[in-house]
Amino acid sequence: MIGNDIVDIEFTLKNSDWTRRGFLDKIFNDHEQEIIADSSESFKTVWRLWSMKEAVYKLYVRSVNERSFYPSSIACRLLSDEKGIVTIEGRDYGTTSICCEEYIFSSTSLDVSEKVKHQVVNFETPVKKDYYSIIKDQLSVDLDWNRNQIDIIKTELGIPELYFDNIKQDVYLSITHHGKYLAFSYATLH
Amino acid sequence: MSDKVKLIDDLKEIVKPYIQDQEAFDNISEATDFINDLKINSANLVDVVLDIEDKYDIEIDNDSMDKMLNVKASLEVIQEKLASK
Repeated sequence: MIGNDIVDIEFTLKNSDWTRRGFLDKIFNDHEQEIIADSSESFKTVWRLWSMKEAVYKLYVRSVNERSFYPSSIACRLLSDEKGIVTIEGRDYGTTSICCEEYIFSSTSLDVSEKVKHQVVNFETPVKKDYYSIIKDQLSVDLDWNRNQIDIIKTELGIPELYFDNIKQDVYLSITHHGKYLAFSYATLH
Repeated sequence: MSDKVKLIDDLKEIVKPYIQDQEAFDNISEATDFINDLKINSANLVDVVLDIEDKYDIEIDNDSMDKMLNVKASLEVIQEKLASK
């Protein structure tokens, strides 16, 4: 299983204020708030931790088949600029984060770490609807499948599943978009 | 205007700055989902919860916040917190 999350930095600067009273308390536990307080780049640290939580939360929803919204029960530790560990319900998940000037992208996977591919797409304007077609284009090339036979269908929980010729495929797919960035990760199971 | 209609109206005002699907917003109802329908990004969902706290002068604990993914559940949390004030 896989999970990912992208944070558009410019979009976040415009649309979210992490210094707002109560904001950190709603999302981060004491340890995470210490990491943020000690960081020389608090903005980046806040949103890296956030994206780690989101990525692992997505994988978690896939594994338990249930949605909820309680980010502070998801605990993060940072191992390096890239690597981190996120704990949900006593279970640890490794994460990898890419932090650049334009975005922060975090991902996590179980069982398939070697085979996961990630793609980040930059739109010039905020991504609205129908970005599935872009993902289908890319998958068609990567997997050498006929574009017209590819479908992406979301389950009730919002988990995207990949179909070829109306048959569900053994491919994990995780899609994230924020501001003008779209990213998707996928892994074939065999 | 019933209490519930008024609450939905207030909630509509609160989520307005964060929505990314105008049509779903125009047709808002108890069944409306914040993420799937209104396309509110999850960081802004925290803002929605904080705005609700400010507006009603209530405190929303994490267990309650956990449920606030749609209009119906949010109304229930607001009503419950208001009743216990």
